[in-house]
Amino acid sequence: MPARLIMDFISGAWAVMKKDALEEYRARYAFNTTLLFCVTCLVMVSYSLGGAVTDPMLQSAMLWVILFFSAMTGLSRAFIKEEDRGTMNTLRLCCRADHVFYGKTAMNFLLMSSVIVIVAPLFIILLNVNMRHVGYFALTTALATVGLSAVSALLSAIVAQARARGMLFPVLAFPALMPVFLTAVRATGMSLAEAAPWTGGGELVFLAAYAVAATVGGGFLFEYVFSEQ
Amino acid sequence: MLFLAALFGFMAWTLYGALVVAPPAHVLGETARVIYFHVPVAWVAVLAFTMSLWNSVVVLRRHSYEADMKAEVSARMGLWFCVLATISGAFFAKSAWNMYWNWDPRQVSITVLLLVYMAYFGLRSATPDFDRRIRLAAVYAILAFAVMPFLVFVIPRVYMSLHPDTIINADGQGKLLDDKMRLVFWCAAAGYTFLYLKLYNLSVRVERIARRKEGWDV
Repeated sequence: MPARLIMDFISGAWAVMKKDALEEYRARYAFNTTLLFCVTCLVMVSYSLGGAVTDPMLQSAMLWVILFFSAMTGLSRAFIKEEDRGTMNTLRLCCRADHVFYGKTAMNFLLMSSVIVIVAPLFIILLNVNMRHVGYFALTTALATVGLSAVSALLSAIVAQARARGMLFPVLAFPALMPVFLTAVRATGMSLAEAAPWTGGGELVFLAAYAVAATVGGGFLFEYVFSEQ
Repeated sequence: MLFLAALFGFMAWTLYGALVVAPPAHVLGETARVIYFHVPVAWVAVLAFTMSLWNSVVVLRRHSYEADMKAEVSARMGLWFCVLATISGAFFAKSAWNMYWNWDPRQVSITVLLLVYMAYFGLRSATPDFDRRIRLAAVYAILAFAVMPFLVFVIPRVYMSLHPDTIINADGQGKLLDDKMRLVFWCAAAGYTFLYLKLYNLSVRVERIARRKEGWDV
């Protein structure tokens, strides 16, 4: 019986993610906007630095500022587009809240991961970054992206029901995501530094704890945002 | 009456004790007297946010307008006490580190906490539909509170901080405070807690009148 419940949950969330992925594949709106935003910012930062060698922590901060602002443009649309097109009620009728939340979170994760896969090599090339610990960097970005995706999905559903959505999303999201941002900057800085970053491990544990809390807690809270009662 | 007597008693003793009875701290000197104001105010901010969380949970379970009102009042008070903790902390920083603001992990945490609860009020004002507003605000208040442990307890311990709890509270139990200091400190904590409860009670009554005037059933 539990196996059937799990399969039911996975297939429900998968269906929501597949719908969004297909839609994104046809229009490529969020992916293109987010990627172009990242690339434009990276080029501007690289040009303004003029090839100067910067501190690893500064490079890491620049990368995450760019990624966070791009996430604000791309991930905020997860539910706003449903509300704008009037398909939110269809989702309410057809899907369970947890399927929608985890489907949207998975789609956010997929979107941000695809952007990071392209942006990270550009970051290394354009900012003359010496990436010393690739595994640590990959784990940092993966864990930070999980937390970012889950919180963004929940906040996008909240913002979709309010006024001034475009302005409200970053206002709500930045403070809630600040712990991830600060830790991701530090962890990425460590992956660029010479010293082995694995010895401490506090940053990765923190990011993992945040990711679990955001994913599980977000799932519980989403039900109240999704239902209209 | 007894409540008011306790409030005035504790607050008067706190004022007198902090300035006259308590000796200067061993390392921090006279500047350490700020703990009789700064720490209780920060504690009350956490208490107010906890009240806001509790009432937000009640909103989600029972869709109660009364609980929403209490959650909003508590969050507002928590925000003001948080501002007081930030300002008093900045004055201490100026005295101890020669600058008001140096992005110490504690200062980062409290700034983010302020932003989180300001965003809570931003969300409330951006949602005109009342039933929708109380539901969304309750969800955000719970999310905001879930972020708080990361900010208040985790970040200051993960990153190197100059915050003096590493000196005063080095053993984790505040045993480096002497008896007189501890007495004044706990009286201050009690006094500010009573002050919060009194202000909370008054604010809820004022808000109830304001909402009834607007036609809400609270």
